[in-house]
Amino acid sequence: MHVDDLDSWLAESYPAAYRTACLVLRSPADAEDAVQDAFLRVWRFRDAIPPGDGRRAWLYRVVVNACLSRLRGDKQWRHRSDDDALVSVPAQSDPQHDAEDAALARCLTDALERLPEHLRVPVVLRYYSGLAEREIAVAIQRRPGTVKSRLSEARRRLADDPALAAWVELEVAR
Amino acid sequence: MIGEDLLERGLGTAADAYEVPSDGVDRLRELLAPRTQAAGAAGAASAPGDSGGAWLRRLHVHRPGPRGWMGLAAATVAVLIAVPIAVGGGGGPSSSGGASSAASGGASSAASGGASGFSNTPGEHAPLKSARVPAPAVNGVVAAPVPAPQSFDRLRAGADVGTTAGGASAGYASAGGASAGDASAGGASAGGTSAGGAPSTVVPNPPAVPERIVKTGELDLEVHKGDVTRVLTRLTALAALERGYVADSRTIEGGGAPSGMVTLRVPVASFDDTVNRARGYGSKVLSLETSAQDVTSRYVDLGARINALQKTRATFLTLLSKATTIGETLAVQQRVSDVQTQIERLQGQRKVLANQSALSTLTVTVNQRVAAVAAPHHESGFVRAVDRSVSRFVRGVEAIVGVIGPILLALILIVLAWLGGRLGYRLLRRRLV
Repeated sequence: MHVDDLDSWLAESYPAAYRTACLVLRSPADAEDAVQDAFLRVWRFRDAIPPGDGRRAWLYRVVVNACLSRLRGDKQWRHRSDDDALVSVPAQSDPQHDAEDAALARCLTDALERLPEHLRVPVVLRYYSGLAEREIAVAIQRRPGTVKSRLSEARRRLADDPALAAWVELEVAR
Repeated sequence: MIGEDLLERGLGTAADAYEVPSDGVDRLRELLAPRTQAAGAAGAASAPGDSGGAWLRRLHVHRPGPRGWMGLAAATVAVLIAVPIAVGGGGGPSSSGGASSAASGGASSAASGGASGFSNTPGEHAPLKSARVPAPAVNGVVAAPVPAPQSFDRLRAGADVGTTAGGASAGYASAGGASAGDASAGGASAGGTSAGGAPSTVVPNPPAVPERIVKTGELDLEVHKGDVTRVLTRLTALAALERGYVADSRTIEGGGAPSGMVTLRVPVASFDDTVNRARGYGSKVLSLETSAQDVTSRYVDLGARINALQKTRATFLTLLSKATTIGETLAVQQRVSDVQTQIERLQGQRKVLANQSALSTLTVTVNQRVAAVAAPHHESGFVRAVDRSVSRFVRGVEAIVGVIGPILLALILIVLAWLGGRLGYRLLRRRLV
């Protein structure tokens, strides 16, 4: 891939990658570091970038690895993330957002926080980043069957989460 | 199960709440700028040079994945098998403790071998040699300094003679002749000393004035149980053998440990030989103290003074024969009497000196060996209990150290293996990513 193409691709992938990292790490500062780390790595190993559509899954694989490195390697992360999470709770000040969506978002992020990371990451990649199960399998280096079972397990647990129970009932009622 | 669209809606809203840093991409470009230029210059295919920062980030701790854990477990098992084999020298894990202690024993014996190598005495004879060597050395140390003060004193004696002699120089000359008469006997004894004693006592230039040396020694011997009387008898025989005599002998019987003491008087020439022989009678030499005092100058001085006084007495006797009045006679008689007293006193001193320098004194104390272990039945129950618990504690500590040592070694190796596995995992991961 040419340097300019790589640059434009990374620039356009940056917001989605950053927000994915935010959802996984629940800390904007950590997410920014993780994504920066991941993009530098992508640059270094740009020769290994698979051609075509596969590169998206590959990019998320690097981003997820960077996030997991922070989650697992940095013992201080848990404390910092709690502080940051208080700040980074979805803002209600944005008038464009429906109040209902904002409440849903807060409940969902709380419920995600309670999910183990091996379930949280596929959920974020599937339902925020929009990766297919096959792409998620590449990103988390697991078989597609594992991704499928993890996703269903995550959805089952989220439905059982008390924070989301009202939303599930509301959805069923609709 | 929660609906997918609910998830998508909620996650989308939550994600949108996170504001993407506007300068995030620019900062990335800044970080990449030098590399972009380098890559642009070298072409797209060339691998860009890595900065130290990226490498530092690389060193960030990664927890191994399932495959990594399996690799670590395999490495740990391999280490756990290899360590006992390595430590035990192939004797198996059960014999690793004994093998390690044997290895340490070997090491200590090797060390002692090295030490004996340094002392230049081969093998097992080293301790015996080293135990024996100091004995002549001790005697040598005692005997060796003698010649130096000797000659110094003699010089000083000569100076004293020169300064104090005054008008009585003739008397001193005769005194010198008298001491020359002793010279034959003294010279003989000196020759005997050099023949029978340590070579260090040999004086290169035999002095014209015979040596008068008073030697004394105290020897404490320890003998085996029941050997006290036998050793005392041998010491008495030794005195006769060395042409001396036993001046004093005491034996203390009764009690747990009988002991005895003999005072041997042997010719000065035989002193060193006697000491060496007496040392061998005991199983252990508890202490040995010898001293040698050069009394030659005092002896010579006494002789000179006696001779001078004798001349004085002769003069007074001549005067006495010429005395005419009773008063003169009484006065001269009083002087003769005084001089006679002085002469006798000095002669007595000289006799003592002669005796002391002719026969040395060796006091040997013979003690029966006392059992090293204090009788435990005298101890109270409490003391015994404390002793027992202390010894058990020490044994326990020894056992713990013995167990912990190999475990610590294994732990160190496991940690090293883990670090190596982590590095390998990271390298593999880097290649995959």
